[in-house]
Amino acid sequence: MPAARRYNEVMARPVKITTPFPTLMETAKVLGVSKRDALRLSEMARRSAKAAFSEMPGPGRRLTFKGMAGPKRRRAQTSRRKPSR
Amino acid sequence: MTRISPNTAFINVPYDSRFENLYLAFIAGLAAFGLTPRATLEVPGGERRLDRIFDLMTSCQYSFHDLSRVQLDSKRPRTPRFNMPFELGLVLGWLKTDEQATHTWFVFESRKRRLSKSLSDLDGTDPYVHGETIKGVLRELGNALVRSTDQPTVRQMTTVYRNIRRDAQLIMRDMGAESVFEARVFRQLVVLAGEYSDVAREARPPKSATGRRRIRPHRRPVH
Repeated sequence: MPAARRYNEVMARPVKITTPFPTLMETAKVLGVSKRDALRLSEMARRSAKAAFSEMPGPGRRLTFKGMAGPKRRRAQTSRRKPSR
Repeated sequence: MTRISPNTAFINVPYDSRFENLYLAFIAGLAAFGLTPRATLEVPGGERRLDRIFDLMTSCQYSFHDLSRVQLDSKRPRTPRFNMPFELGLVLGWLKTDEQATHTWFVFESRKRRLSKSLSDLDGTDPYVHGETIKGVLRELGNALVRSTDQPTVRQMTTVYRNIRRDAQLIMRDMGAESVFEARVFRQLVVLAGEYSDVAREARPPKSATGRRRIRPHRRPVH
């Protein structure tokens, strides 16, 4: 097929993707991400899809980030402490 | 010749803070379509950088070139940004010379008719106009690509975008990175976007026997 014709066809209509969705490990392998990191990210995605916040899983760290995607929670109204005499 | 990976998409976008949201939108949208975005961010510097960039783009099945930021930058000396059209030119040169190459490319722009002014050699090519909005990028990706099964909606892509936008902060903090345009952050965001799109797909209502999605009938209020 001549290249010029292929160009016009490309831009004219949407391209149909027929290949199946890649698995987590396939994506990680293409990008050079370690298996451990990929599993950690997968866990993070699965957890945050359920909860209203994201958490970075892993030993010895607990980085959390309250997201904009989750439901908003109102802060509890606390009475001010009296200054000590 | 480099072997083409079927599910990969090369994204040719500017790496500046103003483009950060649209860059994340490209990652989210492509991941929702089951593609793995690749970028020159992954290529380390050095003498053979151009060769490696060429190898990377020719190993991808698709390429998405955003030419909306082909303009003078604010830093002195003010120069136009040539990286994006240059990489598009590399792809077109490769396709012109290699008849067996099966690569599909797309051009994205911010405004209509801007491309014919900035790059008139591409006259006759219709760019996908996103209007510099996240919704625009996701909509135009939906116009450019179609899946035989599990076609993602703009709503699903937006959910993936919001999730990776939020988690980008976490990943950056975890890695001590200063921007989302760093190789390790990029790779992790792509993996994460793939997982979020899986979650979004799993959450979709199951198809009925006729192949159509069941839509819950609108309930009338009982008086």
